[in-house]
Amino acid sequence: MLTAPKTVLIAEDNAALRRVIGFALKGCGFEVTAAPDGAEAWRIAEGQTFDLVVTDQQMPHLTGVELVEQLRQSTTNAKTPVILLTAKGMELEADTLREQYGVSAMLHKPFSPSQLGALAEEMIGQLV
Amino acid sequence: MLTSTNQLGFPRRVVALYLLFCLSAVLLLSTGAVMAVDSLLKAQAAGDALSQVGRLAAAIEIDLVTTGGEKTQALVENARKEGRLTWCAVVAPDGRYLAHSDPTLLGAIEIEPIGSQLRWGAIDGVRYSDENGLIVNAYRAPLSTNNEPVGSLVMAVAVPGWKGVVKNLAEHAPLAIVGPLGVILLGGWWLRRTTRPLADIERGLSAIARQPYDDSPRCEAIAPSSLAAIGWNRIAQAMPSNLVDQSDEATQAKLRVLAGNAGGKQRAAIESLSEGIAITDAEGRIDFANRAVAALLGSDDEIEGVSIDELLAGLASTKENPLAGSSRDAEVVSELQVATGSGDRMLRLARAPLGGDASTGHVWSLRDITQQKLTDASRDQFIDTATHELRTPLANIKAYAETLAMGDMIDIEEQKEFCNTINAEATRLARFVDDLLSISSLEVGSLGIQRTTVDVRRLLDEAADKIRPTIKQRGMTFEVKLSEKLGEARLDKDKVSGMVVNLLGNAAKYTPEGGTVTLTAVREDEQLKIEVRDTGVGIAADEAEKVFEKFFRSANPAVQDQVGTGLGLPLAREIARLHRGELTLASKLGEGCTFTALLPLQ
Repeated sequence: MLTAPKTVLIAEDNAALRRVIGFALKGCGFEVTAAPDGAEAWRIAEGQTFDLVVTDQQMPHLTGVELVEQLRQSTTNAKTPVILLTAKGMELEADTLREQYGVSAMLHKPFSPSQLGALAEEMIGQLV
Repeated sequence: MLTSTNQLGFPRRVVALYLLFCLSAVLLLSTGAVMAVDSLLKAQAAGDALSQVGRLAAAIEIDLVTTGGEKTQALVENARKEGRLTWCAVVAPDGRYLAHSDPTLLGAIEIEPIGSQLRWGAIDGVRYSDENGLIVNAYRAPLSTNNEPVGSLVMAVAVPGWKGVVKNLAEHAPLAIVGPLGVILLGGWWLRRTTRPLADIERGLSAIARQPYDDSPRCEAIAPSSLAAIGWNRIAQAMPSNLVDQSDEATQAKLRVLAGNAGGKQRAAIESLSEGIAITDAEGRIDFANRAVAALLGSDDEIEGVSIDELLAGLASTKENPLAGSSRDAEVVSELQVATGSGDRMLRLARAPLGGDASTGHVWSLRDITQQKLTDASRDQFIDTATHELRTPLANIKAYAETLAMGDMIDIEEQKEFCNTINAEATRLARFVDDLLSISSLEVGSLGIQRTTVDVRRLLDEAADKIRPTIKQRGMTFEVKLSEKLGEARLDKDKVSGMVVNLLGNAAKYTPEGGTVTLTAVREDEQLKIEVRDTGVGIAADEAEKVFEKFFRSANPAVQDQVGTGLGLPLAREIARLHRGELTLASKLGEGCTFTALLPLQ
């Protein structure tokens, strides 16, 4: 079956992590767009609808949750599933994030790239 | 030996004396008033009589001219009735009565009254006592027609006596007597009330005076209605004999808390605590408070006897008492934010019922936890930062290692890059752990230095080499200007190198692309001067000293965007100071900053 590759937007300020996430998702067959911070990711997402967004929580200019809030208000990515990568899993309650901000899934650092790949595939097609 | 007497108490004596003096004053005033009214009435009567004499004389003169004296008798009788005169008569030049208010005396020879002589202008007169004992003024006015003397008019008026005065005064009695009397009694009552605590104190003192000399004196507490009474109670509490034998259970409970079983030292100990200790009665009024309470509550006034709930509510930023809703029978702890002139402070309040329930009052403790809160906040911030700093390299190491292990589509170049990334992240992790270890030894003051003879130029070159890749990577210019005459010095090589790397790392981190980082070092006046200058975001003047505080992170968003422990600069300064030197900062916001380390070489 021949279908167009699914698109994913990655927002991560740590260059090394951004690269390895991109590498893992490419391995799963995604077409990857990467942004070095939340503001840049938002600029890209305004002009394009993605099948999935993977974002770090702690980033300069715009945090992951702030980015999700903006995406949910946008015309392009209001229903795109979002995976939030966080180093502070203890503080943010998964339920609150899901219900209040529309975060689809969370992954705590350090995480396994294959786990992220599996989660990404699971999220595809799931509308918020 | 003093014996018991039944004399009046001190306040009663005061009131009695007050009333005595007041009554004397009132008596003297009344006498004065009677005398004044008397002479006033006399003067009034004389004035009336004189004007009447004038008018009557004129009427009689006219009558003598026009009718030859036909109506004179009628005029005289009329005048006596209307003017309320004792008697009235006209005497002819021959000394006989031409007219008289008593008609039986008409034509009789005039009886001249004998008494003291009076004179008012043309009118003269005599004051005499008549047969009824009344004082009478007889006025005599000469009568004349056509400038011929035709006799004289005699008019007798009774002078008002003491009855008249009393009658006159009686009209004003309600105001003149009741008013002052009321004021005096009110004064007496107030005096009695004000001096009541003195009576209690006097009673206590008298009781002590009557006790045998070989006993240590005992005194009883009194109602705390005034400062003096509270003072008395404190003396009473301090009495050693009161402490061993106290019948009042509530007081005993308080004393247990206050002093155990011997007064002064425990009290002094409680007074000297920096924690505020207060005891309130069942109604919440402060019975006792040590000095720290007044200081913590910022009160300059006497606070004993004041309601503590009102004091707290007045202080709270929210203007509400934080303990208002809690059970009075249980131990409660709360925090109270207080706005003071020097910024907000946080107080911790704890309240526990004395002796198990609220009926005997409460014991309170107050503590200023502002500093503790600040420390907590910076520790929380540090844990946040540390968590992030630890997890980010860990996340990378894990992700790259797993990718390497599982991926079979990775070319050899990529594999090498991945390994380098893992290595770099592990180094970053190691450096962070080193920082943590250093700061923890700095915490306990065990960070010592081990001086060895080092080539300063080489040390600085090596430090510069460590940071050069980072600076290059960020597209900045790195200038290293090291004097040729740096020579050798006895320094702790690792620590000085760590300090310089740290300063260069900061410069690289907070300088935007295209900026310049400069490292200079010179040897002058037996001092090694190392300078790290950048063209980055700079540091605001109000934060210039704070950057050397542990865990401090600037409020500047450009700094917040960067990862940092808030440990590097405090550590760098500590290293300079361990070398008996100093690390200082010169900066302007937006124009970069210059850190200067001065290390003495002797």
